[in-house]
Amino acid sequence: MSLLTITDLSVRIAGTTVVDEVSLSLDPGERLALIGESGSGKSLTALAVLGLLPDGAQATGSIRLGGQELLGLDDRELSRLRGERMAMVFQEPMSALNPLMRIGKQLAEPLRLHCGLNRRQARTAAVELAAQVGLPDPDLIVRSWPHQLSGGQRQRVGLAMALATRPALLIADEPTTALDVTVQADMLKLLDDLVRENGTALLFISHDLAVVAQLCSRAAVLKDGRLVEEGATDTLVRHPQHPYTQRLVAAARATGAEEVPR
Amino acid sequence: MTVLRAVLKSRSGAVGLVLVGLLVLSALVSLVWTPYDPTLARPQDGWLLPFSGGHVLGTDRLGRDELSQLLAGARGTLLTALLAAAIAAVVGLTLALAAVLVPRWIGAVVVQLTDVLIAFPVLLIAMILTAVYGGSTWTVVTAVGVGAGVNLARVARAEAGRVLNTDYVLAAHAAGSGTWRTVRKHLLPNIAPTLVVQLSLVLSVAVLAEAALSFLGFGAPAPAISWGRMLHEQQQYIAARPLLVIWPGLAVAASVLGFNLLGDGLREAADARLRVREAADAGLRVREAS
Amino acid sequence: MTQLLKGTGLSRSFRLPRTSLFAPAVHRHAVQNVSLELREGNSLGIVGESGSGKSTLARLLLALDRPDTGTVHYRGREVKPGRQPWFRREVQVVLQDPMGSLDPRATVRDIVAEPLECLKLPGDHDDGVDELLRAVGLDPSVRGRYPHEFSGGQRQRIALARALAPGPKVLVGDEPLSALDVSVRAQILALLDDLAEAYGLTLLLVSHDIGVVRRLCTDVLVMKDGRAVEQGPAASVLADPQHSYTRRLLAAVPRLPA
Repeated sequence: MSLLTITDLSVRIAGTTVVDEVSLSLDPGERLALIGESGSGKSLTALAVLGLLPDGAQATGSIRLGGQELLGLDDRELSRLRGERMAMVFQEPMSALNPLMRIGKQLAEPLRLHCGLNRRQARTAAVELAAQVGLPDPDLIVRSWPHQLSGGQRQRVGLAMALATRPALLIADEPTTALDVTVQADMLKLLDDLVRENGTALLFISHDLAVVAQLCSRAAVLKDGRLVEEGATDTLVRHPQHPYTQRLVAAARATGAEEVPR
Repeated sequence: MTVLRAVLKSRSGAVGLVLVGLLVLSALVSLVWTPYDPTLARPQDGWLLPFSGGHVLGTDRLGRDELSQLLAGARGTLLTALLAAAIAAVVGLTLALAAVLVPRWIGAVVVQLTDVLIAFPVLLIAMILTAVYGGSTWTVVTAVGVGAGVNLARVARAEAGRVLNTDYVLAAHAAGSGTWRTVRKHLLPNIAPTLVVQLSLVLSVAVLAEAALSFLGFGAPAPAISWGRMLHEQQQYIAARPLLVIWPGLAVAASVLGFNLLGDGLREAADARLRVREAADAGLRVREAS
Repeated sequence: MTQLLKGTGLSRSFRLPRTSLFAPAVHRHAVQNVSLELREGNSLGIVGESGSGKSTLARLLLALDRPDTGTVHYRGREVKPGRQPWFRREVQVVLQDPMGSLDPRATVRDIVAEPLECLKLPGDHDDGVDELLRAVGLDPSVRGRYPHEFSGGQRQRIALARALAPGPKVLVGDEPLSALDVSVRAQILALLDDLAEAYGLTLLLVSHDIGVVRRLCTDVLVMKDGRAVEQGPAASVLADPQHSYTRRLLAAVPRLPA
């Protein structure tokens, strides 16, 4: 049985349909990439799953997580689900961190809230989490403030926070776009390892085909809120069917790092 | 015109515009017509109640027509407010430009000076000035204008600093634009919306300050007419004729409120434009303009 | 080949804000002793990650910032920061953020005509603007519109038209493609390539994207922490990198399955 089933999801903002009857499904432990350019509705689809759509946005259709319908749930239940069953990593790690709270406390908070750990247990777990995401000197890191960390380190903290409660579903919205290439490479490897170890299903949102190809076995392409093509990433990249996918692949090849004949 | 439409769209903007419109209208009408000469005292006619002897709002102790005084007072209020705002604009803009354009150490001195000046309340400066030079419209206008100007300078300086750090200013320099051209073509148009909002607030401060100073006896002396002085002269009879105090009080309150609401409306209009732009960036707007 | 732009021993440091009142002032060396030259017909890519000093270096070469030490020469003549109309006519720039680099309160016409007016170039500026807009693939009828009415790619076309206005010999691009969507990026990349050909431009491209540099540049300079760690012909540096950092950088770039 699939973990996440999205059926005919539409999102309207101020009379404009920004996500148009999108259907997707994700099995436990599977990785699906949502590919699209700005304005394609990829982020809004993710926010709809998390129940975090901006004010004034209306979602219709159905989103089921492990058989439970998410659309129409009240905020309290959604917030509980977000802590226990699904989590998100954002593009800008700083926006997900509270600038006035030490890293350790932010890591410990979901554990205390959702896993019922006491203060001391949570603190120990926070250090372990920091070590798990490869942060150097975890004892020091948990005592630092968000602004003292580099972009890559912050994103690692964001990932640790998201995975703290071992959610069944991780949604990552362009998690490496704001990072440098060398940092991105490390981050992708870490994401790959952690998701595999924990058996987490991954919904990976990106505009970058090359990044997607490294990480996800399956991919769906969104354009102007519609799903235009879906399939195995490898096939999608080698033999794109839809003209828009073909354009994307050609563009990625034209600006990509492969040797191109001049 | 698009600005006007955007202001009218917000409720506070529309109300503010109506109130300010009433003030301007009263001032204009008083230039050509008032029911009676507002300064003409007719003690022999007695202290008339509203709607008696042709005086709609009655007369004061000296037999002057209340409505005529209110209309004439609008003139003084508006004049004071506009002149003070003009002085504030000149002072504020000059200080702000000085702070961001000259070499850094001079700029720092300007910044420190404005911060020190901000510490002096406008009313206190005005009272000191009247104590030294005697009360007149000009004293009030200068005190309020300079006082509000240094406050404005702080906002304008921050805004100018922001604009000067943008890429389009960098691009302008790369295109060979000199300092003054950049100020004229890029800096001023881009800080104008913020300044206009601030100036509408200066107008309301000026109305209030003028009324307060006149009430305390630091305003323009007779025969000049002012709402503040009406309040001052009639406060001792407040038990006998409360309406005579209430009308000028209401006029002051409505004008202050009007300028404040207009400021809010202008700010909302500016924000709305910002929002449209952000929406366009988020790709929520229909693409491909050409 | 004529030498166009040349930077010698360029350094620039910035004073960081003090962390406390009593802490000594700390300086960050954004660019440290970098020398480079750009020859006519060649194109140079400056590659580096964020904080490597590549944008600061571009600003120094454009005489938009004053180096602490070192000099910039154009065709053998020293360029000092300032208005320098003779230099601006020859060297122009396209910046990263196509929204931020266009004044939101100026029309397309005013934006594109800006260098023409500032540099007091002869000819009818309105005709010039129309011609430039056509050259970058925009309809001249858009001249009365404002930047926010355009998509990212179109805005970058407008910025390109402005840069081409004075008929420069050298075009400096500071991450000109980074803020754009992938498919738009490919279009602007192709346009940049075509324009460089048509106008005989010599490109100096600052980018974190090795793919773009490989596609457009004949020479490459790799920067890390303000220093040039490796420079040379793009073909040899990218195929056979000598410095360990260049190797790491190349290995980190994600690739599409062939």
